[in-house]
Amino acid sequence: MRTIPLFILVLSFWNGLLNGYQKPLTDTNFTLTLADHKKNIVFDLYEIQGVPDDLELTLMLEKEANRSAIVTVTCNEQFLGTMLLNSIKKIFSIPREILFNEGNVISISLGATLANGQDGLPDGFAISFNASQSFFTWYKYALPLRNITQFLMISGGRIGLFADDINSSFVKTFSQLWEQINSNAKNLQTLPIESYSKAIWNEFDYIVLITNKTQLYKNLPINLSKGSFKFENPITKRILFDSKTTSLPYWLWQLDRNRKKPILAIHSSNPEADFPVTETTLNNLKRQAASVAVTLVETGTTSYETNKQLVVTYDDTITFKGVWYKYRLYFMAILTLFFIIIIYHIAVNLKGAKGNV
Amino acid sequence: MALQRVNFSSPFFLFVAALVFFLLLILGLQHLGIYNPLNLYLGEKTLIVYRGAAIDNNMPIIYPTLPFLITILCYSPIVAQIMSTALCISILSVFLKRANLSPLLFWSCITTLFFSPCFVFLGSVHYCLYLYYFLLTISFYYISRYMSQDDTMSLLLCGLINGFLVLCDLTTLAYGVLIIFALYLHIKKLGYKLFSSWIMSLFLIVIFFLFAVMNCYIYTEQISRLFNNVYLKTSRTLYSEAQIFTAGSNFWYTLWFVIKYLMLASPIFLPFWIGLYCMIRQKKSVGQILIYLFPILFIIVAVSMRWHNFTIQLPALALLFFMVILGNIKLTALLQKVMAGSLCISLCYGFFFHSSPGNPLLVQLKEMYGVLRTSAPIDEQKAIANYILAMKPGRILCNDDVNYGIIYFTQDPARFLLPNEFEFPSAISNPQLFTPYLLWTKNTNDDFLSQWLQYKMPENYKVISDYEHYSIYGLEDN
Repeated sequence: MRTIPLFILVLSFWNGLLNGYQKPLTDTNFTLTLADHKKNIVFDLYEIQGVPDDLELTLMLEKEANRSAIVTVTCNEQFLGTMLLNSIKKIFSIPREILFNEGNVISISLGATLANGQDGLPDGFAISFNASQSFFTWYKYALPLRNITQFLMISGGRIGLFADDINSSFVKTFSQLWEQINSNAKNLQTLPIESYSKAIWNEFDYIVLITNKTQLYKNLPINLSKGSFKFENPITKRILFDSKTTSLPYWLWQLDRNRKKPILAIHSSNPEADFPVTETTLNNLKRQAASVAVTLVETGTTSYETNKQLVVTYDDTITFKGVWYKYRLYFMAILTLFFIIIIYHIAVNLKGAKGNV
Repeated sequence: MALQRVNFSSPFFLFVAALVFFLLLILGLQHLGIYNPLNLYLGEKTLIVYRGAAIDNNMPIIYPTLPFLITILCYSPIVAQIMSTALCISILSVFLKRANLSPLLFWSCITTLFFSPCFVFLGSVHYCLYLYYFLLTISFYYISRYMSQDDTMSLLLCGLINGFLVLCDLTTLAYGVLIIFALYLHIKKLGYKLFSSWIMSLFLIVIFFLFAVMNCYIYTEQISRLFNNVYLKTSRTLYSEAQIFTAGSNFWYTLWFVIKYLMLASPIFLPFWIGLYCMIRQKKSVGQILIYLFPILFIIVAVSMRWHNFTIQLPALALLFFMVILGNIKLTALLQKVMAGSLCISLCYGFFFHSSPGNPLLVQLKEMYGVLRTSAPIDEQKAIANYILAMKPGRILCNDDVNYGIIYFTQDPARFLLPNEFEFPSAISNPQLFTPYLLWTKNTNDDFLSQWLQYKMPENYKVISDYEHYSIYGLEDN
């Protein structure tokens, strides 16, 4: 029992022991007055270079105001908290569910507490915030990423691109397209695929693989070493995409769902084909809502949610998921029956039961 | 004289009377433009079950599950609402009849159930909460009965009802500890004679919850649907305009707030206190008295956890506990008259006087209806539904987390491509391959579909119909 306080102590200092990241809120000090009582600060996740798991905003005043004035802070119109101005510093935590990839708005507005009323503040009342002491802090990034668009839009830091052929036209097109989506992608490092291994993960923050080597796809949603694949909607039995019947060249995008390193793998059915480059393609890539996508020249890029919803079937192979979708109703019926029998058994064997409820 | 043959106090008659009363009430409210969003929501989900495009196996997991299953059985959400309310009232009347009450006390109880503003609110708007309070009361009744009569069948029933409670409201899990504590006190007195049956009943409580949740998880693999739900959001945020609570997270402040509330609203809780006095006077066991005091604890926890932002429903739980406990105490003729009088005082006070911090119950009730009238643009949703029905055929990409009203008014869910379909992620990544129309909500904070599309609206779409809160986009070829 004596170890419990010690345990709590260690836990409470644990965050402090980790190396955190910091980003200043603004470059210069800013001031709120009664006439100009609201300040909006816009930031994108690519400035943070990932989705922070525990983003915190620290606000620091130049000097405290001995008034019952109040500052309200919201992020994307979600209320974060209020700050009474008789204390000089306050920390707000921002949940990651409310963050967008781009265009997040932090809004800081001045008001008065109800007890004092708006009239309680004098006309020239102003408060200023210290820019060097107001900042975002976070300790770790949230993984796995939600979708391909998120990978393309927020990635930053050290980016490694491994390709079968570094000088192929697709690698050039892809890096140009990516630069238009995300300016952090300018300084990516292009390397041959032979140098890629798990040991190299520590050297990069984000990794892109452009390869047709099927053994690298073993832990990805679609395992290309099993041959051709198709996406099927198990409820309507509609086949959304079949690689066997598609004669046109296609590009398959996959996001690795491991919790250690964000990896995007791209496979092209015909390495010599030209990737379509139009504004539509670009907008399409900004709209991918799942971790697997297929680009066709005519129709553009379409996502397929294979993680929990669609069924992936390969050439003549029986998968557990396919069988489960076929027979799960019978399975659940048997399970329910089993539970009913247990409950009935307990009810009958309870001693002292008198009936007449 | 047919009327003389009718037994007005029979459960069946009360059932029919409650059906008619609440049906007229709800139809009157709808005539005034007051729709209950929970009804629209459950009605829309029921429509998807019966006539959806791709009938989703996950549908029965919509939370709150028990009211939703009733809605599936009744098809219409209004019928489900009045059926569940009327069933609650008629079962309560059975409990009252068993207690051998004088007609005066019996009818004052029934009058309270029909006309007290808190019960009118629960029956006409928040019937999920009514069902929850009812089941809660019954389960505590069975614990109490087990304590007085050592009837282990009651214990079993309590466990089963607790399992169903989890399907009504997740807050059930927060006070399961209290049941265990009260039972512990009792069993300590008995000397562990019934230890095995006690374990079994706990086992039932746990197994029901596990069964429900694991069933969701195994069968749908989408547990987030249970916890990220419109019902939970609505019951927390919808009535925040009628907010009365200002209690913070400080426990002592909350306690002081509850004490103040109970003192100001004491005439409403008068029958409850008289019941407590009788229990202490007749020397009931500590466990039983603790169980009877549960509503007070519930109020403290609900205020400090901010389960709801309004106080109107709180007296209902205490009054239900009072009515059910009547069977467990010895009633003299004088006591019955006193109790009937206190019920009348409670009813009148709810109608006319300042009871809780802020407003009398009747004013609160009007405020709630006012919030319902202004919360959703019902007229606009109806107009859009009519427009959609007159449009050329073609599916509409739509997010029913916020637009369930529109889908309910069209009565044609197969027209829409909704997030519960497995093709939805594909459709929002490349809409023109899947749907010729888009339904766009202008308040982008509520609708993730609009958030998703607002900077990247597909190029081939243009506005074909524009409203204040919504607009409909169509492909240029159409």
